[in-house]
Amino acid sequence: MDHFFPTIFFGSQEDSLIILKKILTLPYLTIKLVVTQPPRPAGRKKLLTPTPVGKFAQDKNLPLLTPQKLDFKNQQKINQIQPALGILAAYGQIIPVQTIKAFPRGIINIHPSLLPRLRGPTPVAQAIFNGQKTTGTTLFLLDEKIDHGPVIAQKKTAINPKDTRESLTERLFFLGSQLLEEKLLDFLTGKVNPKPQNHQRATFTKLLSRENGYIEVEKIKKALSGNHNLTNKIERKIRAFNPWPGTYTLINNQRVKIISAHQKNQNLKIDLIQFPGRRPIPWNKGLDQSLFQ
Amino acid sequence: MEIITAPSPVLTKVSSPITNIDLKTFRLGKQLISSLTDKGVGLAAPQIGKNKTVFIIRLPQQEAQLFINPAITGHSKKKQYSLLLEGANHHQEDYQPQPFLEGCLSLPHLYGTVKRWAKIEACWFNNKGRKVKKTLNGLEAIIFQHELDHLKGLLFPQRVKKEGGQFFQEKNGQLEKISHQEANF
Repeated sequence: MDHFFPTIFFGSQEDSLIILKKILTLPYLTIKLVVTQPPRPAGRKKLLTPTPVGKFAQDKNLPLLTPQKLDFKNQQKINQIQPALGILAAYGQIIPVQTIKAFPRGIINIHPSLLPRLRGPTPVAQAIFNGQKTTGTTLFLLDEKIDHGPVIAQKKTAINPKDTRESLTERLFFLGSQLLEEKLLDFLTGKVNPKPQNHQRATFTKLLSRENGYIEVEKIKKALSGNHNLTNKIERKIRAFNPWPGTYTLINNQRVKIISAHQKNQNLKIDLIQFPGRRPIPWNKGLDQSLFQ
Repeated sequence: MEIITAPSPVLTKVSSPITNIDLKTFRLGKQLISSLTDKGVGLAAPQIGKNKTVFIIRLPQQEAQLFINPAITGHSKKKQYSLLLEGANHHQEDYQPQPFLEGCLSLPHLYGTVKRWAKIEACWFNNKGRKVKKTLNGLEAIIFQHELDHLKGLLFPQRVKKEGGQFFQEKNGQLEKISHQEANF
């Protein structure tokens, strides 16, 4: 079996699976190990839950590693496999340089933006929030700096007016799976040479917290009554933060989540809201409209 | 199943890979084998109306082989026209090597010269769903490239035209040279 490219996959999200499933269809790669984040408490009952990638690997009987950290011990496990290639999609941890060095052909990252634009952890949310018309997916080789390595291939896609972070992320990883299918073999056989990024043009994104999802009531009121600028911004923010970290406002000191909204002419129209511990409900049934008069 | 002949959109579409190799895949393989007529040496799934990356190759006097999600991972340096050596009488005075002609069950009566790699490194999933990697030569290498083209929505006349090759048409059992304009499909 050593004439296939022994490959280690790194990924943790539902969207990582789009890439892993594609890799499994490629006859010239052999998945030797799947590396994912350890199971974490999730849901109301805080049950220890494996990542979607962890669950998939268990179901498919793929060898699995779930390190808290890629330390010396885990590094040795990787070295033992003697991988040729790594493929990483939404793993959620920084890969140490020593680990990258264990891969003669490098580790390919599938990043959901057109690098060097939107480096960092939240490129999809940022692209929607910015109001960009297009974004894309980049295949590049990991190096010692974040989202900084040379680019193997890129593909563009339009951002639809209804795209949320969730829908766009899924589409961008699907695009990444197509790119892998089209370009990976060319890269492995030396027909495509990775090109350095233009670092002068790099832009960066930050990790989002729940607090970043706060929208002031005053601003919502203005948007509802037709402030076009605010309407645009708020509507984009709601889509960019959906499903995580979500957007909310404070009404009578209660955290009211704003799940979805749309624009009508100049006005913001809120569709779904959610009170703490309740199900989402339509806006017009949920609130005393006079609060916003 | 009936073999689809050009022009047909299913022959020019890019086929999608098999994501789960299961009974359905093997059924498709069987359909390909049963659809391959005596004079064919290979058949790709689009030729029976399925845009999936599967084909079969049946070399003379051999069992048909199934190729799932095939790919070429390496090849000889230059593409070239192959020569037909079998059956030729080398000692005859007026002996001239004949070019190897490609034909296609989806393009009856049309033949042409196509440049191919003489040697390829190929890999695929076999009829047991296992990965295989092999070096292919000669006829098998040519057929593999021809069938792989089908999965990309390419038919051999496109290559003949691009490379300035020669078309032939079969008429009453005889091969006649025809121009690129005459080779309509």
